[in-house]
Amino acid sequence: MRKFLAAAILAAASHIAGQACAQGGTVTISIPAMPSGYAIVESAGLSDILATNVIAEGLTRWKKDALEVEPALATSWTPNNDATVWTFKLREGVTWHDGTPFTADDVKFTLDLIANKDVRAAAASQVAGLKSVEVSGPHEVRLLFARPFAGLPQMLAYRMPILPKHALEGEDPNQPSGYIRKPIGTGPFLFSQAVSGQSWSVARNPNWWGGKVGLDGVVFRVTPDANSTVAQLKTGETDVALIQPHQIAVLRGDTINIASVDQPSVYYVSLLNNKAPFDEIAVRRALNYAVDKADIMKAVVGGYASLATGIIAPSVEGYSPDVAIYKYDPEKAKAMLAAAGWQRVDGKFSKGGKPLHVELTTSTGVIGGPQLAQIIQQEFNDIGVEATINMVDFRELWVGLFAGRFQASVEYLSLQPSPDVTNALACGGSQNRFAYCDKKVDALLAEASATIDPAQRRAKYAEMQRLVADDAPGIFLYYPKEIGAINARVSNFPGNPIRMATTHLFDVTVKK
Amino acid sequence: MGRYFARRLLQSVVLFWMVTVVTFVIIRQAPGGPAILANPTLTKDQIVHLSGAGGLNDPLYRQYASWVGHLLTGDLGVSFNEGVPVVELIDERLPNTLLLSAVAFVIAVAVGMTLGILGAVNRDTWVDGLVSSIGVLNLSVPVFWLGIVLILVFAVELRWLPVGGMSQTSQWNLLDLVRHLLLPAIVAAGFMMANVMRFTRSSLLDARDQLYVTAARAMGLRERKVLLRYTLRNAMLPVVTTIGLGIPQLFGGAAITETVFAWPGIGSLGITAARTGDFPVIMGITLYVSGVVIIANLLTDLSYILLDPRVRLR
Repeated sequence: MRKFLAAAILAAASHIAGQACAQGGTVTISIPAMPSGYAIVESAGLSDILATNVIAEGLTRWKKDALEVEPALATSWTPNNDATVWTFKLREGVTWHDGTPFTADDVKFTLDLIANKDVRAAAASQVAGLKSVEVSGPHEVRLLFARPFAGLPQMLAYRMPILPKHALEGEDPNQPSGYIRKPIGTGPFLFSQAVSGQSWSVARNPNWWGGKVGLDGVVFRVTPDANSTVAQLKTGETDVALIQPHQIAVLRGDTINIASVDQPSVYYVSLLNNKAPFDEIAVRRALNYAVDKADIMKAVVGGYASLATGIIAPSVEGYSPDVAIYKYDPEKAKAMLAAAGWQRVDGKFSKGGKPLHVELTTSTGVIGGPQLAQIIQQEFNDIGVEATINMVDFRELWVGLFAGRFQASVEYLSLQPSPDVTNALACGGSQNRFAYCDKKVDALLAEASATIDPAQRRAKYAEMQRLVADDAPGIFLYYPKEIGAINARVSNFPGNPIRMATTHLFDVTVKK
Repeated sequence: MGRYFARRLLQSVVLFWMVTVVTFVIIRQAPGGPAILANPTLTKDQIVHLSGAGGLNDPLYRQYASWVGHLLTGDLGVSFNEGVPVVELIDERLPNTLLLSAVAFVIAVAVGMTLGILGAVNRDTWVDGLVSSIGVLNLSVPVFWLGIVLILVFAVELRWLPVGGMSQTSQWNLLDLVRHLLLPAIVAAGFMMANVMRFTRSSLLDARDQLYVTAARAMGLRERKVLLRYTLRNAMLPVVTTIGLGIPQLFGGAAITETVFAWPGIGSLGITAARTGDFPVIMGITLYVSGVVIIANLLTDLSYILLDPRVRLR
């Protein structure tokens, strides 16, 4: 009864608020799982990120339609000469949703939490090397790093919401049950109601520092089944949802706009570079020539992607368009293997009596993974390389990748939109799934990270991308596009991938 | 009777305990471990450092002992996925599943028995054929498929009913609830309804040829009275067994129905938990569901006494 009363009062309140404002209205966004509004540990993945974005804000944030940063809770930032110390001026007059003023202590609390080894923070790798956070004034913080870190502002815009120290102190940072029941932030929307398994709703924050918020609220609707999500789009029960390429045709003819945007992720086959046979660069390159990437892209994602040259995607600042792609050429692949001393016996390549065998590990948790593995297996067989497929649970895949358990894996990386890929490619990098190690690449990554001038930085990253492509630590396939279905009554929806777009819902309007 | 009841109760408790042990061991042997550590965004160092957190590296017997210890104080742990206590999650979701299952149960028994009686009374006519076809269809069509077809017809094409969820507004509204409940309840009822119908029909036909029925007719009772007072009551025994055994199925089948219709019950909660390795939630739901199954079986056995005085229990 109490719940019912609260809901009734809330509904009445939002109704009055709606009448007072000329715009108003609510947007419904489908998500696959119940979010917590606490994206620090990101247990529900995408759902957590989307929900947290509307109530909480980072020091920096993405522009509405591009993956470039602009001020949010920080108004300006300056690095020292070698980018090891960063000073952030914080926005004044900002309050948390419960009225408490936002200060530099909150920023220190949040960054310390993310860097804490005992917290499962998803963004921990983004502030690797953080030595300490100093509060240098009520509205100023200094971040001290053990290494130069020119790419810091981009890292801070991605899943690093600043948290209220006063509301979280004393809770277990891995599962703060009390906070999750009533999360607060500084953002344009206030948390209003969570109905377990059904919806997570927010209402306009009338006191937001950024000015007027167009919508009355946003409802995140939990729809675990992909087919039901499409049905809800058709009936208008939901306004916005991510869909797969094969579902586009079903939605044609309805009043639904389809938006496909580049996202900072890449699908590839990772090869274990420190073990035979992939310690031989000739084998890695030959396998790259054996795979028809353009054809695969068409077959698996219906062309909703672009060909990959490495792990940095085209939508990310610092991507170099001048890196060559291994063009499909099975004859060249065979010739390269022969030149490297592999003999063809009965149509199969072997060396010293040992056949060249590739075991492709993948999981249904990788979208299109099983299909990709089958096509690649066939293409390897075609040039005389034996290949088998090893299907595992997605949990086993991620844990096994880090343990170096799989020789070759068909998988994907969804990276923070920054060219600083030290974690993923440097020797011993914390997210290096290739066991790849090259001193020149390491040096370039370190130099780029210490270079503040954007043009010079860009040049160093471009050179790094060229070197990596040449080394072929894996077989890079494609950068997928994210396909969003958005009801035509919604206007001004941001043009970024949805995990960045939901920070800008304050601009969105709807026709009622 | 008392001794029988005590023995059955003891058996149930032992069975219940065994279910928790088996589930506990199986989910912890699953490859990859809990999803909280199989997050592709975590680094190698984090996984190594955190894999011992929360006792996840302790020997199984010690983890189990700790789980039972907490259980005895009413603590089922905190969901890895949602970050809230499992007890609260189940408290929020269980009523939704009970509502869906109860409505599905009523539909299954009422419609199933009515169709079964119709079929038996009109044996070998077109009515019987139609009834049997409905039964076979419901037994053989997969739940998720039937769900999607009903959504396509009634929600997408005709727009009479919503696609999914439990409510459209934040206010509670009976009509809104009924509109959301209708399709999932029909789908969830399908299998049990067909079983009830088939058993009612065949057992009525069996009973019709019994001597006491002939005797009742010979005494000049009207056919209607013979059917409702004598035949039906005696034909109920196998039907009650079917209904009793069907309750756990109803509960289990609700998991798929709930996922298709985004119904926020413990079935969809369980499916998400199983997929993502949310150990505390899986264990919590196992407790509830196995409890329901065991109690339903116990009640079925006891109801025999009420229906047939000749059944003696020892």
